[in-house]
This record gives sequence, C-alpha cells and structure tokens, in this order.
Amino acid sequence: VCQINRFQVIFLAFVLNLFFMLSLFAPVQAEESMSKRLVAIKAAYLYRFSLFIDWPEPVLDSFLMCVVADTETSNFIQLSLYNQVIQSKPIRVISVLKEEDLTACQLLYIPSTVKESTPFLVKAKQNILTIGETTDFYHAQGMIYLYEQDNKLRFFINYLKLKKSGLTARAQLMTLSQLPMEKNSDEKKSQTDK
Amino acid sequence: MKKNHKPISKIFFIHLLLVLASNTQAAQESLVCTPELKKAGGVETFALEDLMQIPMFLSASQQGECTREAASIVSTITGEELLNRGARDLVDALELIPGISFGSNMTNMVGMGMRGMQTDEGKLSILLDGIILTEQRFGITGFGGHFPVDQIDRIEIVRGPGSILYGNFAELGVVNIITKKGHQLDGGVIGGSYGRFERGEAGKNTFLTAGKQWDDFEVSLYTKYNESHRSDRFYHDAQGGSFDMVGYNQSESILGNFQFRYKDLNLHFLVDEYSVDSADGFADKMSLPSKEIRNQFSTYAFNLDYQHHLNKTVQLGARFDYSQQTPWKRTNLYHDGRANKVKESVSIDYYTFDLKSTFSLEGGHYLVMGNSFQFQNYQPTVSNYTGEVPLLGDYTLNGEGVYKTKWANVLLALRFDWYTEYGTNLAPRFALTKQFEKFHYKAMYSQAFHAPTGGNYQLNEEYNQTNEFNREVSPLRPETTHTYEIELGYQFQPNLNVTANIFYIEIQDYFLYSFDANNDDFYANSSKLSTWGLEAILSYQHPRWGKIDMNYSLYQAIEDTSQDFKAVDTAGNILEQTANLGLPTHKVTANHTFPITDSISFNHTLIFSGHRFGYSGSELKHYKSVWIYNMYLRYQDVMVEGLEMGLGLYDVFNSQYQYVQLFNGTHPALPGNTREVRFKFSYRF
Repeated sequence: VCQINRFQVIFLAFVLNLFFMLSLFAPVQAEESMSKRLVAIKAAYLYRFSLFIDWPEPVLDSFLMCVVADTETSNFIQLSLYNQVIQSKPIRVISVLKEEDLTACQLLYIPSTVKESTPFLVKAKQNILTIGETTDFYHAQGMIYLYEQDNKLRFFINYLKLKKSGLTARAQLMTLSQLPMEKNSDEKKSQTDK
Repeated sequence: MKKNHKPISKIFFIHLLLVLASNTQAAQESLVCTPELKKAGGVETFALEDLMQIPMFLSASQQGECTREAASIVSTITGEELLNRGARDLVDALELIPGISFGSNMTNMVGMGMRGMQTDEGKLSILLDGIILTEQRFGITGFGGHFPVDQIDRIEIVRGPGSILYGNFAELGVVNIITKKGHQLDGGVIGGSYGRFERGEAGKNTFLTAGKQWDDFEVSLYTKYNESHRSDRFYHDAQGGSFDMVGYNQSESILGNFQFRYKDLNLHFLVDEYSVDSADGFADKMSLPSKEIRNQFSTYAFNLDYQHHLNKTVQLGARFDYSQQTPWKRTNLYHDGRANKVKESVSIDYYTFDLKSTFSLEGGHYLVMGNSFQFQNYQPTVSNYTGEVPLLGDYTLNGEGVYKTKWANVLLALRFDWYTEYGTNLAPRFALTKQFEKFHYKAMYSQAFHAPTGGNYQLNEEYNQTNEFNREVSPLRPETTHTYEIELGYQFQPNLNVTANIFYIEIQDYFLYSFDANNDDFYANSSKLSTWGLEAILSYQHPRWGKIDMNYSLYQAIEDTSQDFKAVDTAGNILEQTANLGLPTHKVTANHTFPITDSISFNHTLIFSGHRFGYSGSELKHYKSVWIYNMYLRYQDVMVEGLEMGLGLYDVFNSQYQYVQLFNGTHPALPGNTREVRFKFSYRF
C-alpha cells in the first residue's frame, strides 16, 4: 500500500490549487465546435420541418435547401443531413446570394447573420418554404420564424403566409408552433388597444 | 480590469468547507456529454419535440463534462440500436463492443472479460441510472437474463479504468445503463418476449415502463420479470457425469426502477432480484443428482441527489446513496427428500455521502473537486465463519482539472483514498485529447486502485479458521492498475468513421481466487498480470442500405506471475503465451441494420470469436473459434400505431458457444444456447 508522505500532500494541494487558479483566471477560448453544434441543431430543424410540409409539386432529383450563408455553413448543413432523404430524394444544400435565382429551391433558410430578409423573401415566390431567425424576417412575413427562448430553439409558423404560398403544414407541426413571448404580449396588447 | 477578490475567496472558502466536510461523485453522472447529441444517427434523427429540449448553448460545466468524456475510450449503444438488433439481454449488447467477451465463473454464473482480463473480483462497475449493481461482497456481476434492455435510452461502456471517478470496482471498465426518463417516455410501454431453443424453452419476459413530465416534475417507472435457461445442451463434468440442461440451470430476475425529479432534486429507488440455479456445481463435479445450488443476489437501493448552480461558474452537488444487498445467498435444493437449506448468506448495508464542487469557464476549462465518505456494514447471517468483519470505510478526496489549448486539452486528476483497513493511496490520471476537423487523438494514463471487499476479507479469515492443514493465509492487499491508452480517429467521409486505439494494462498484486488440496478456497495476491492490445472500429451509414458497424479487437497476454490465467498443460508448458484462459485473442464483429421501409427493419450480426483454452478438471481443453450469426426483423406500428412486433433467429449457424471458465477453477465450460427463435412484442400507449 502506498503510504502518503508530507511531500505528496503538499504536491497534491499545489496541483489542485494550480488548477483552481488556472480555471478562474485562464483566458477564455471560443470553441469552434460550439457554433458547429448549433448549426447541426438548426440543420435538424430544417430537415424536420421539411418532413411536415407538403409541397404542391413532387421533388424531382433532389430536395434543394438554399442557405443564405457562407459555403462553410451550407457545407456543414449538407454534412449534417448527409444520409437523410425528403420525399425519398436526397438533400442538396447550396449557398445563395441576394442576386441569385431561387426558383429551384424547395426551402430557403435565412440565418440570424443576415439582417435584411426582405430582398430574399421578395425573390422567394411560390412553393418555397422560408425559414428565418431575425425580427426583420418575422415582420417581413417569413413562414417559419426560429427564435431562442430559455436557451432553447422555438418556432412560430405564419400559417396564412404558408398557405398563400401553396404549401401545407401538417397538424403535428402546427401544434408545436409558439408565438415568441414578447411578441405574444405585443400582439395581445395590440388586440386590447383595438 | 477590476478584480473582485471577495467572491473568489468566498467560493474558495465554500469549496474548502465542502472538501473538509468529507467523491466518487461521478459514479452517478452520465459519462456522455450532452446525451441528446450522442444518439444513433445524430441530432437530425430527433423528433421536433426532442429538438425543442436541446439547449442551444452549453453551460461551462456541460462543456467540462464533454471533455471529461473525451478523455476515455467510450462506446455508446443507444436504445434504438438495441431494439433494432432484438437484443435479448445485456450480453447481446456488450458482445458487439470491441475487447469484450463472455465466459463462466462457477455454478452457472456467466462473467465478462475485457481486453484479455477477467472483470470479476471487483474490476467492472455496472451502474443502472447511477446506482451500482455490481455486488459488494466479491465485486462479481452475473450476466444472462439479468439486466434490462427494453426502454433503455443508452448504454455507455468505458473500456479502461474509471476508478478515479467511479470508485473501487471501475478498475478495468464501466458499464453505465441509462433508462428513458419521463419526458422521453411521455406515456407507457408494455411488452414481452418468448424464445425457444431447438429442444426447450429459452426464456420469457414481460416489462412495463411509464413516465411523464409536468413542468418541473418528472417521474418514470420501469419494471420487468424475466425467466431464462442457459442452454438446451448436455453439460459434461470432468468426472464422467452429465445432465440434460433442459429444465435445469434456470435464472430468474425481477427489476423495479422508480425515479422522481423536481427541479434539481432527484430521487431514485431500485430493486434488483436475480437468482441463478446450478446443477453443474462449483468445480469439476456436477451437483446433480443429489442437489442443485441456487445463488440469489438482491439489491435494494435508494439515492437522493441535488445539484445547485451557485452562479455561471460554480456548481455544487450533494448526493446520498444507500443500498442493502444480499449477494451470493446460497441455498441447496435437495433432490433426495431432504428439506432445502440456506447454506450461506450475508447482508451488506452500503452508505455513500458525496459532496462536490465544479468550477468552470466558457472556454471549457474546469476544475472538479469533491470528497466522499463511504462505508459498508458487512454481516454474515448464515455462515461457517464465527468471527466479525470490520466496518469497511473509505474517505476519498479527488480533484480533476482541464485546461484547453489550441493543440491539446490537458486533463490532470488525482484521487486520494484513505481506507479504514487498507491504508492510503494516491492515484493520478493524465490525458491529452483534442478534436480537429476530421481527426482526433487521445493519449491517456490512469492508475486505478481496488481494495479488497468484505467478502474477500471474510473468505480468508474463514479459511484460516477452518482449513484442515492449519495454514494461515495473509490478509489480501489492494490491487493497483496502470493503464496506458492512445486513440486516433478520422472521419473519411461524413458517413464513414474509423477509430483505433492501442492499450497496455498492468495489474499489480492482483487477487487470485485459490484452492487448497481439499478444494477449500481463499484469496491470495499475485504480483503482476498484464496485457496489451488494439481495438479498431469502422462505422458506415448509407441512406438506402442502412448502417454498418464493424470492429476488430486483439489482446496479447504478457505476464501472469501466478499462471492461473494461462493455458498450462500437464507437462507444465504454456500452450499459447499470448492468450489468457477463456478469452479469444482475436475477435471481429459486424452489425448491419437495413431499413426496408419506414416501419420495417432487418438487422443481422456476425461475430467471430477466436479459439480459446480452458480447463475441465485438471485437463486443459482447446475450444475452436466460432462464428455466430443472429438476425432480427422489426416491425413497428403494426396495424395500429404503437404496436411493435419482432422476430429473431439467434445463432443461425448453431455454432453453440461455450462459456469457458475465465481462470483455472477446474469447472468445465458451460454450454451456451443452441439456435434460438424469439418473438417480441410491445405496445406504446
């Protein structure tokens, strides 16, 4: 049996204290994987939304997700959904810019980094599911608004906009749709005012 | 920058108080960081309801746990994988893990080997939702019809020592079974299965599980009853006797698991009753025709756990565990008219108090400091032993810190134990890990320390009192284990991962279960047992053809000073220097799940287990390598939503695996099952 001596006690105390100090004063390093983790969660949302939406026309060769972001993000979404299919078709994720033609997209995702959603929403005509994260997107009548609440992602579906665009959301999806809390109170307030 | 020293000193003071007050704390924690993200197929396979429960940003302590998990060789089997495979038992789940094989102990008990070493005698910690199920008397775990596989959320298997975090039994590895919680169940499931061997009943079981969450309240319940037979073949003892195992060597298991959570307070009750009948007996001669032996194991456990987030940086945790075990209660079931008689029984009350504090920062750096006090009251109730076993206590103080740099996450851990009977020990753990884009590496060193149990103590004292040679064996000394591991992994494609590791394990002063010429048993220490090896895993997923997991494992025995685990012939020659008894040096497994439709899947498994050696009496026997092939068809939502049926055919080639004794205890190999067909059903409501 190892008999502990005074030196070992001092050494143990020293090392534990060293780590204690290090953990309190060490410079904080941003972890790249954290953002990727978030992208993976959002990619899962895009995929799950697509399973509960009916498009008026069947998908041809592949289900095209258009992402208003850098190619690294769209590539990562593609990787996250590598093995998944929608309407029995493989998913293709591409990165799009403001000036590009969006007619081939089944889904348009506008992340929070894009402050102005309107130019994209204007170009996203019929049969394109639009998903966004900014207040601008919400007010610009995007279809599915993804937002953070209590450190968790929630979503709100603009049913009228969806229907107008020729898309149908299934009941399972609609039941999970929630208006953001502050917007909820705003809308209630406006109803009271009326 | 203005530094405010007051809160820091306060935090430090609080921590010191905790440290001075009295950690095997992590024995109750999940091994896996953010378990939601670790499930099969990744987060994209989650239902929307589950997605909505995932935190967007991890707290510093959650990041810390990720790092801690990364600093181990961990395999995870998800509940969905178990259901796809039609796993009958934990054995079906674990035999697909590299480095794990099964053999026998004695009296119809099946035990596990990991990385070329037997895990009995306190070298494997099995936890169910954090409660230790490994019996406290000798540290032995019985497999076969015992542990539940239905409604499991996941099983985490650590190959490698976990003593610093998981205590006395985690010397070679940890198996952590985590059942589904209320929010995952959100209702109930009832089900069962029935299986038949070629010549008799294989087993039957039934289970009920239910759970619900209401805001801050969450409850879950799991119950099961199981009866199974080891085999329908003939057992041959070493003295010319034999019997038909149809109708003999049955095991029975009842398990109840209730959990309640309110905010950060968790309450957990567990009942585990397991009995194993044996007609094969203790050593080389079967117990029939005069009697059978029944070994019963019972655990009644309770645990209360509370976590308090003092602020974003500091988390405090307190936990109390109590378990009452009656392991190895041995009853002779006489066939000659005599009344059945309890021959041996002990009662063990086991108490653990844990306090810990976690300091963590957003960058993932963290420090965990904790202490625990545990003791067991060991009472032989029916025994030949006339003495007393002292109250066995252990005070533990441990610390673990991680500092992250660009090229490595540096982990250093230390555990100090003070045992009432076995002195003190200081065990370190050191790891360098890092994940880059597609590549990750781990380099780890761990020391583990395993103190003798009450059962070890009693057996030697009893031997000294009763042996006919008037011999006196020395008290057993603790084991110390040193493990070195290096793992490399690369993601060749998004759907193709390859990981490989090499390891070296050395146990010093390892426990040796020994017999004298009269077959009276006692424990002794032997100086060194060591193995090295490698394990490689390939995982591939195709959108149409499903998921394939393959692995290869190799171990090479190096040293065994007692030669008790070596294949030694009558002339004293070791037939294969690199093999230990009962465990194949090479093992290959492949598992494939083919999704036929959204609701129908077909799974098949192929296991190659290399040749082995074992004893039958004093005769050394060679067992050829075997190929085991299982297949299972799963049909979900049959006619009505929630109804599920499955049909499995196991050991299709009828290779008839033998559970070879994992040490030289003269017990002949225990026949395993023949080809088995099993029907499973369940209904979700």
